Amino acid sequence: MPEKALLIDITKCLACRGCMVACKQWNKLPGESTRNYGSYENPPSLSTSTFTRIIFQEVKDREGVKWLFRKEQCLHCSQAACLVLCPSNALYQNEFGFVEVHNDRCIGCGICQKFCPFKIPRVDRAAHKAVKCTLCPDRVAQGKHPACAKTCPTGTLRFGDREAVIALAHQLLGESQDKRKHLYGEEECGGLHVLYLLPDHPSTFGLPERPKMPNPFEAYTFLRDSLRPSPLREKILALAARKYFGHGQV
Amino acid sequence: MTNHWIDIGNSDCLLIIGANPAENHPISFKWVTKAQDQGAKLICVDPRFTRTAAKADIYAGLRSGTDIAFVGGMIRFILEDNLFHREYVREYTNASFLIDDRFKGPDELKGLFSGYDPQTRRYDQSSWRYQTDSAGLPKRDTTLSDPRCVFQLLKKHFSRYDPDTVCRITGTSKDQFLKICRTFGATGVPGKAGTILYAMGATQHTNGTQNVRTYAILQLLLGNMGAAGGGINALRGENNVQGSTDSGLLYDLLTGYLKAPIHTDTSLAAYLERVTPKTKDPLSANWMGHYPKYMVSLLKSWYGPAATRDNDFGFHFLPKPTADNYSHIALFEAMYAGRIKGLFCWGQNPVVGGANAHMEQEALKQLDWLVALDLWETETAAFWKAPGVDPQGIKTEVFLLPAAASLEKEGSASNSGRWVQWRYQAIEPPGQAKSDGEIISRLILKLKELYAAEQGSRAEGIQKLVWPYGKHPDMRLVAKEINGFDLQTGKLLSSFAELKEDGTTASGNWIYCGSCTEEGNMMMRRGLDDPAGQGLYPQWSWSWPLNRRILYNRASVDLLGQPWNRRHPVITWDEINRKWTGDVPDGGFPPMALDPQKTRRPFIMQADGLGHLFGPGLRDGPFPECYEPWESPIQNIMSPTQKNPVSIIWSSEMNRWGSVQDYPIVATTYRVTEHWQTGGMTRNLPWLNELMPEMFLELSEELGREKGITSGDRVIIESARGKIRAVAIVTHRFRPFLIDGRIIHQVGLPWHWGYSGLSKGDTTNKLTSHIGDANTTIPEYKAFLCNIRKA
Repeated sequence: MPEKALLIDITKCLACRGCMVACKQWNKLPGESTRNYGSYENPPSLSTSTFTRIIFQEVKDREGVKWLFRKEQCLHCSQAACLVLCPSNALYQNEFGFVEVHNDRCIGCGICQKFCPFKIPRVDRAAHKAVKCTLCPDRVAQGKHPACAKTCPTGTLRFGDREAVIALAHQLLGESQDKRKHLYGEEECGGLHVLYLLPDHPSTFGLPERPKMPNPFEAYTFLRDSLRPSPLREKILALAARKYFGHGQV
Repeated sequence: MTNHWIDIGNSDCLLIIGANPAENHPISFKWVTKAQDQGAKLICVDPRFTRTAAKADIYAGLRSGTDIAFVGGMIRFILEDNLFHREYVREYTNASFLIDDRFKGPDELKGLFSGYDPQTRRYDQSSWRYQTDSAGLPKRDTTLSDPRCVFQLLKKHFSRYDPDTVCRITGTSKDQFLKICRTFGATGVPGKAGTILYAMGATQHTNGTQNVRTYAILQLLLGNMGAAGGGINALRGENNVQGSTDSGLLYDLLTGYLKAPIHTDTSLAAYLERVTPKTKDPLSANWMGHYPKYMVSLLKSWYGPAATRDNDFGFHFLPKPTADNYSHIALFEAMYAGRIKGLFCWGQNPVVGGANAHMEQEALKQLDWLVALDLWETETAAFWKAPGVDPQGIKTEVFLLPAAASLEKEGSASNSGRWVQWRYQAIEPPGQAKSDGEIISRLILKLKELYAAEQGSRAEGIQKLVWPYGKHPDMRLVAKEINGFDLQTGKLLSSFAELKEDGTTASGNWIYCGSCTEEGNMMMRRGLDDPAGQGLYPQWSWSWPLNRRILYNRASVDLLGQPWNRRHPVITWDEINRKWTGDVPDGGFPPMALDPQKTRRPFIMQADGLGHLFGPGLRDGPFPECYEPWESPIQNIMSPTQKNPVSIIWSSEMNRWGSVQDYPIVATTYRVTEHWQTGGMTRNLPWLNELMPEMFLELSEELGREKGITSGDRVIIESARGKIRAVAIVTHRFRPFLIDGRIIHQVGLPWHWGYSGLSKGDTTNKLTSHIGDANTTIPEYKAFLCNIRKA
């Protein structure tokens, strides 16, 4: 099975948010109780019941105002910090290249959320499980597109074989250099499986210009400082040390 | 729409004004985006910087209610800079017709047209007519230079709409205004097409109809009517609302836009004499000259064997009202005054969606009975137990009938592009919910029972009505009745050209004739062939009239029948086979230069066959003129006539007018993507409430500073009619306008919320008023005055 990918062509996004509703419908996620805090944007962040959302940004410049919309979700890195750092090896890359969480292995330590360059995963504190966008591998395995891509009315979300998606992205870049300036995700983090076509620098949209793999010492320190004392803690620290440094002691 | 959704993708330039399709018609943006991908320019003109504006190449703000100044200024620019399509204007519009010498315009009469009577607030329109020669034909000057020709009068009328004056009125930056004039004006070149997309932002004004008239004039001047990627396209706001107006749901219309009879129509002949247009012009097809055929066929459809030549085909079974206005506002005024005793409120929620909603809620208390039909118990159905209302004090008996949703019933749905598409039932309705068809059928059967022993024409109208549907109507049979039959052979008709006025044909809606024929139910077709390659898809469902996908398409070709636009031809004349290819032509007449005997002008629905730059027939003038909204922050700059001189002013004690001294801020109302109309269907869905949880007010940073309001604050908004609360969104997307040297602030309010449902909030329409457009009486929801403060 060739690797698959989702292209988010930001220039076409209307922020209709049909993708957010389709995601909740397919994944059987509840609607959150929110307040209007002075913006169209809601929920205010990803959560255990919100795997994707549109970030609304107003930019004032000399020409007037711009209203930018970016779909936030797991970008499914090829070199995924979460996968590399997970002490219980709960994260893995499936046949499509998507990063998935093995529910029965996950212990909810939160290291994936802390060290994700895009701050995506969320930990369900009650169930001690990390959750995030899966890119609907259950749908993709049946030849369907992820729920968000299926519902998108404008062609903002284009799904397919990763190679074909990248070729399409380059074609769009070539055709409309005044509109689309960057393809984000071809090389970043070893190659993302969710790529952005951006009309401006990645940082304008809150994306790191050069996302880096985290430092394992920092990751270990995080685990050491955040886990409550228990027999499990010692086991996790030992697993982490072996995974990060190749031996049992720091 | 004169065109259709897919055709938007064929456009070279899109002017979105008075609409917000990115938010209210997101699916349409598939085609807007396609056009942009092919190099089209997208222009958005709106008081607010919307999600549509966010995608536009050019955005211009304007003060709410100043559209005529804005588009009038575009018309002037196009005339002055010679950007118009000269041959099209000369041949396909009434530009060359000479107008009666008694006709005078607002430039001469201080903002009024000739014939105004201030007592009745109406025009005597007898001077708004063409000069005719001895044969009764309109006089013309095809050089377009006679000072009495339409073209010169149009030029003179709009000469006052210079960019400086326009921008003083609208508050638009002059640079942006001129950029839009040049960009859209560039579509006047033969072979280029510009489209106008509009919705309620254009119509919900005291000048709503004339707003749309400005689009018609602009599009005729640029040669954009009839062309692929052109036209005037009303984005309808509800599924099948197009079907509802096609089917005569408005008070002044029967089906197929035939006029409803009035009390002076003492016979069928008198009615037909009043409504049937006449012409002596051999070049005019005057299609509506066929009116008698459509009307008699309709009466035969409704009254069957009881409709005979001797009884005027049952014409007298129809009610003939004495008052001339039974629009929404008029009905609620009559209810408030106690003149109406009962109301069927069918899929409508006036306590949230009605103008001056608190007054409309009070009006419901005057009723003896109310039947509310809806998916949920709406605020209207529950008005008797609204917060602050004592049910003991309400005499109205309320019945709530649960209705089936669109997926729970079978039938047709007509989209904005006039495609009538069959829709199958997916699931059974829950509980006791029933389809509209079943509810109305059972109601009629009961009425027939109750009126069986009554005498008189009113009872006869119910007794004689043909109703073969039983308690569970089969919509496929209804589709056949709507299409119509040859009553002698019993066969379904295939075109309204087969309808007769002698009572031998029946058709429930002449414009739908051809939708369900002996070949089958055309609305069920799902053919994916597009032989012309222009997105016409002639075998996908069926489009009225006669499966024509683009109206006025014979104006898309030159006098030899060849497309102005070779890239996007709609129809082309094939001289060898002497026929049109492409779309179904608007009347199959040969091209104007090739067969002067058999040809007819392209705008066949007009008595003169031409597009109307000069448009008599509306109540408020043959040219659009700039007036201020009923509540306005300024004196009209264009003339001393402040507001539309013929719009009806209701003056109940609950419809108070607010002055700029008390209410200095302009307000407008709108919908957001995440909620639907009055929220009955969406404020009960947690997934949507999560996205748009609360009633809000949008305002500029500048106004926020002035009032000490920051984003997230609770605020109070007050108009002369009421007071509501909301959360503030303080944003750069709203800007104060510089109007005639003064800073005028504008705020925006969505109108989705009410006191019922999972997401509750105050109702914006408590602020709006009972004042309507001069022609349609649609309420002026889009421009009124208010004041705001921190709660």
